[in-house]
Amino acid sequence: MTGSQGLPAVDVPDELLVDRAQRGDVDAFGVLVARYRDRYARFALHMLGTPLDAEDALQETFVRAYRSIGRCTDPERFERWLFSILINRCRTAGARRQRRERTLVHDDLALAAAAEDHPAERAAWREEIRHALARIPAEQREAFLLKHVEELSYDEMAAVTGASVSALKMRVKRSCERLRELLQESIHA
Amino acid sequence: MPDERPDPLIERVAAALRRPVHVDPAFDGRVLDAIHAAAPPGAAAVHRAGAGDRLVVVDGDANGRAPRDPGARVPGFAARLTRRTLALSPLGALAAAALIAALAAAGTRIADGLGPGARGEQSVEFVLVAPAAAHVAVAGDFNDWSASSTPMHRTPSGAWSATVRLRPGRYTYSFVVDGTRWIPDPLAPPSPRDDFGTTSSVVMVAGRSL
Repeated sequence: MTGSQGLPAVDVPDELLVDRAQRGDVDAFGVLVARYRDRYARFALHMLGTPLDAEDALQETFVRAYRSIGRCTDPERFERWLFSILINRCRTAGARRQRRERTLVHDDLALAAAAEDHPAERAAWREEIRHALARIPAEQREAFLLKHVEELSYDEMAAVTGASVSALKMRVKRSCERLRELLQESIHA
Repeated sequence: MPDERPDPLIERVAAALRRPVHVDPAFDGRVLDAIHAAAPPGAAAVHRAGAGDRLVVVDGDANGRAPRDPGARVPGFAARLTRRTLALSPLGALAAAALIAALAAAGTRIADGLGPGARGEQSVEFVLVAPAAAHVAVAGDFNDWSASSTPMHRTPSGAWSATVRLRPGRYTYSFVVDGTRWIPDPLAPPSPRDDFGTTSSVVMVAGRSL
């Protein structure tokens, strides 16, 4: 993002945008949407398995967050507050939708931009990963994504999920074990 | 403690999952359209209710900042009534007796309410005594935490009341006073956490669980 003179614009801190949003500035909230949209879209997609479900959950999250922006009592931790809402939305969406035997996810951008060797093999590998991810319990999938994809610490994970650190460590361990089993099967198939 | 040594396979999986995903360019616009279409949120500051003899005194918000309207202290207490449970302290019982008399005089039914609906719905009446408030609403996960969709009605005694039909299950809720102050029900069990990291109250509606 650049300023009017082509110089890099200083990012407005979350707490200032949250304060403005609390005073009714929807555009300020729009900056927060743009800031976190991509990262949380990735999490929602991997949790729920389809772009449609992920987008619905993500949109619900942002709308819910704005409607209750006054309840963000620590604007400096808006990111964590927002992530908590998204995690709960994904849990609700995951519980509502019926389990599919196989979920297909289309990562068009990644496929189109792939410049590595054997792009077809890499696309197939990503499909296997998503299929395996869909087959592990939602709690373990959530913990795996938070730890290994979003790279949160266990304390941060506890803060956004409400679970204990020990429970989260166990979920991550079990998710890794199960993913190894499922992906080893596909590698040797 | 679970083994956390680096695992090459897990590292490959994580790297693949960290790749950016495609988001519809119109997504941001749809979010803002949905926000504009919804009721304005207002500048809601969360206030934690003090217990003290079952009287709720709101003074400043959870972060110690001065209330946006310092003159609007909101003394009162909240009684949650369901068809199955009612729990009050001795002082609360005296206040509830006055409330019951006031509501009875106003012709409001507070005993059994309406019978169960076809889906097992029960009538749950939310009450807050807040004579200094200009308007009060109840918000919870039964109305998507809307601060405006379930307004409460004021009685001559200064009590605010709303009846909501709920299916059996567990619900979290708060009272919204004058559009800006979110008050948990001091006589209801607190919710350990809600979507927003703040404390609300819990009501259990009897019947087959969800």
